[in-house]
Amino acid sequence: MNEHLSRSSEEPRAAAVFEKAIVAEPAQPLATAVEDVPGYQKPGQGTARLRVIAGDEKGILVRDAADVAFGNRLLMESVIGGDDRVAIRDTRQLPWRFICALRMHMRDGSDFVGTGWFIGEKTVMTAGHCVFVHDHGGFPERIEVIPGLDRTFRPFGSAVGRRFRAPQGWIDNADTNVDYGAIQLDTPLGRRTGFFAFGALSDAQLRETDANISGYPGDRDQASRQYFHARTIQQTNPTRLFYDIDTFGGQSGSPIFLNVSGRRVAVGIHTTGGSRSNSGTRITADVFNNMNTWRNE
Amino acid sequence: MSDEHRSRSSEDADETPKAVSGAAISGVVRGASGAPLRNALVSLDSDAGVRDIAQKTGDDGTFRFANLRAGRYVVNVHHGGGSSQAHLTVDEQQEHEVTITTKEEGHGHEDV
Repeated sequence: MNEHLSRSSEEPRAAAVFEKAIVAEPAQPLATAVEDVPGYQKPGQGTARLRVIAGDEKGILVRDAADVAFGNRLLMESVIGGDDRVAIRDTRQLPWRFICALRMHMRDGSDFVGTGWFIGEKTVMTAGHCVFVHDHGGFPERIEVIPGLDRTFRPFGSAVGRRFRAPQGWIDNADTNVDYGAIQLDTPLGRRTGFFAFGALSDAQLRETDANISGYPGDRDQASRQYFHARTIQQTNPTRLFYDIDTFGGQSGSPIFLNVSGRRVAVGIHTTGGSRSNSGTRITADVFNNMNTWRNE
Repeated sequence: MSDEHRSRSSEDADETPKAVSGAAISGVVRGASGAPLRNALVSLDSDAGVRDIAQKTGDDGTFRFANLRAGRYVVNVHHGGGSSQAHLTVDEQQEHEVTITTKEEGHGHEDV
């Protein structure tokens, strides 16, 4: 496991301590905390929740989000059980400064918005479908990366990426299980913002942990303001994480991250919204290895 | 590492995307006068699960989402301070076209 946990730009020595803590008990849940965001309170048990299906350490808990029961309700928004997203008031602070609004300009002239996050000085992680859009020309012509965007305020400026990475399974088959990718910048903008640690954690470490997502939803402020939300990870399978964290179009590529004793560790990449649950690509050993390669290229 | 995860780069030889299967939703967003609405943000919601990406309408107000599963969808349009929706049921492998008319004039809004 220790080879599957990266270091962040936050306190390198402390990160080493965290790494030991994870390796020590890989079969135990992690003691995680919701990020302390002014105005945000994690909803109580009365909030609409997905049914939790128990599983063992190695088993596939659900094959697909559609397999998860959600009573008889059919919601047509991926904001589940009420909208308690809150705006980040100061995106210059950690870890919000690691997170970037993305503006994708495709080869066919169309434009998309999404979210990314620094994993290295020049490398921004995001969803595969943000860096390779099959019916709009494949790899984009360019993506503008704007860390900590707060309406019109760009605390770290921006950079334009023209080099991209994605796994073969996404490019060839649009396989949801490998929906992840990266933007390679020519300028080390991440040196100013800092970047997330990331880890390939076990089912036991992920199950029932408090996970955080922050990104740039298109239904608020035209995707120009960062919004935060947190809930418990409800399901895992070998390649996906499932949760009822409120998301909306524009938040694809957002980090799914844990706060373990003040250390932020990304464990997934948000990709999918749905009325039954939201989900993201899990950082597995294979995903981790690509991320580690991409951050060092 | 499995082939699925093998890293591919935009710097490689021409990465022409293969056609992907599935349904598609395309359409045009118009302002109150009927003129195309530029730079509106369009996203989807569905009981089938959708990629959480949002598309900006072009100068002609158009958008298109492909590689969709069959199911019930909501097309959300956000523009200026308002929003509009269209509801539709998508069938396998079908192209569905919608026109969404908003209360706003078709001049779009400023880019971020």
